[in-house]
Amino acid sequence: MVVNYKCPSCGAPMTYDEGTDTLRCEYCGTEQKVSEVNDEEQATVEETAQEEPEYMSFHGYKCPNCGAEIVTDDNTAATFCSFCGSPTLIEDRLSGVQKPRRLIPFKIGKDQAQEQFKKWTRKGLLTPRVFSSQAVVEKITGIYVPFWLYNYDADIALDARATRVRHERRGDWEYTHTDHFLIYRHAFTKFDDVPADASEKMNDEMMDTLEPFDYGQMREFDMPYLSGYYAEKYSYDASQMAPRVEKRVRKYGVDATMETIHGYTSVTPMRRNIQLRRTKAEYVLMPVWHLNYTWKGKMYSFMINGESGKQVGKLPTSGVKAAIWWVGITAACFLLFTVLGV
Amino acid sequence: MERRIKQGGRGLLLALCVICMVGLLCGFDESAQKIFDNANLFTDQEEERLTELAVDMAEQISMDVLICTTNTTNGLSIDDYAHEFYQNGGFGYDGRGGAGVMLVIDMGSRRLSVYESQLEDVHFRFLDAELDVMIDAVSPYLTDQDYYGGAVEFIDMLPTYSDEEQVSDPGAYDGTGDTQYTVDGKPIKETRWPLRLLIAAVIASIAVIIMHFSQKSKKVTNPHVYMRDNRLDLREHSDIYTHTTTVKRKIETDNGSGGGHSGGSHSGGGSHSHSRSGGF
Repeated sequence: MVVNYKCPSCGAPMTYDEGTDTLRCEYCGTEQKVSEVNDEEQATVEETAQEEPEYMSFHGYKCPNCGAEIVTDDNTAATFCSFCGSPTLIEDRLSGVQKPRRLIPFKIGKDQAQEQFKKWTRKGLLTPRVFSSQAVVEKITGIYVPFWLYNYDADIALDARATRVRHERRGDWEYTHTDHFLIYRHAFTKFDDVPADASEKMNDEMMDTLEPFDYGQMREFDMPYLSGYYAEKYSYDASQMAPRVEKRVRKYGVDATMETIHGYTSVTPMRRNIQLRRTKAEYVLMPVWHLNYTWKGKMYSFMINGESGKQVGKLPTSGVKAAIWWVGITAACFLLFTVLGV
Repeated sequence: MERRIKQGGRGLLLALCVICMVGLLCGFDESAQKIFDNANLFTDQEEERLTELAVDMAEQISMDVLICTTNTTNGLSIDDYAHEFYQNGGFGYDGRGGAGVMLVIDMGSRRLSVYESQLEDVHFRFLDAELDVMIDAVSPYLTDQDYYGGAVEFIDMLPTYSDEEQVSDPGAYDGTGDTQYTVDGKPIKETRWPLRLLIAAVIASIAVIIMHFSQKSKKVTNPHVYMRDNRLDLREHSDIYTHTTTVKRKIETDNGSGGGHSGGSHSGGGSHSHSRSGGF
């Protein structure tokens, strides 16, 4: 079942307007609160858009707006019709167990994301000029990325060895005394909403770097929030993602407990025993602006946290720019040394 | 007593100014004072004889030759005192701060120093190790209170160690004599540009590598972001002392009790210098 939302005034497709909790019609400017959207009247549903036979892991749906065929992979939940450009939601991938509990709506708009990307590329002293061109910036897309949020109770016991060094002077002799201690700590804490992205397409390290998300902006899931963006359903379920997040929670638990050991010159952790109990796993969607760009045969990814604006990525290095900088710095240093007579 | 010291200081300063002026005007002046016996260790005849020896030796090795005795270094190390004395005095065979070698005897700390100065672009004539050998040769005379004998020994040794070929790095002596020398005995202009270029290239490479790695974003999350109320309930804790280990180290003091050498080097003001010192 494929859905898009029509403007109650002119019938054109409506999209979510960042940071406002409203849907907006790009043609006549009509705005409507997400909570006021009437699914029965406004949602155009292509009931007959039966899922066509699977071919190479891709699925075909009919666009409810123009009837053109929309081809998606297994995990796409929100996309655009490639013929008429209408934002389209695939409802059966957003319902039942695949329905997200909550989401953080986009707060950063496309224009702001593009401007931020340009600024970031300009800051990279070795970034090739082509990378900040408008043609590249246009490719940036908003996507709701599936995440699991986990709550854990953590019971941490650890032993450590610590030393405290004192200096003393007697006559012509300096004495260095090193006091040795055995440390034991048993602590308990709760970790809430530790995120792990559940999309196989997204780079895990980059998604971790996009944190933190402001959970205060979290809303109950509602389909209209997705209108105008791409969205993915989770590729991995909660238990599949748990080992990755538990590794992280263990480290956090040990780090927090180690912080209770004060007043020593050195502390070396020895034995550690961490018991974790998962108390919640919640499926949510997080807003991300995403740009993939291939340069000299290598793919570079850039992402912006759609809520906080935090940017993540690795810019390519231009060999020519690196050479120019190298020659310039070498010449400047050489001249400086010569003038100073160093 | 204090008044006498102050007067002596003023006199010394005046003498330095005069010498400085002379030095500035005409480079090496064989009639200028070569022996500064502020600690009154030499008789007048000894001072006269030492002056003759110093002037002859200066002509022979093309370096100013000086001897300075003092009762105090005014809180400076003997190497720094030697540097201040030489540079403020405007000594130098080839102009102010130029080629010169000086023996400094400080009766206050019972230390002696051999100091060499050269113009900035001229290599040193003595290795640090050679200055150490001179100190070792002179200090027994001073220990026996034969200050004149020590001063004569110092001047006599100079041709032995003053290489016609100049030494580019005084600290590079490794006992094998296999050090860096140039081909002629005249002061030569240094050729440091390859080294400068190399260092500049290394700095540029480090800067470009830093630029390359700064192209990537960094993670900033920590445990406290996800801890409920940022609270850790510490249920048990103990810090048990087990034992103490102690290491002791002798503190090296600069009291001139002999044994061992120390040294310093200075550059700037158009000249560079190095010195070595020891006790007696």
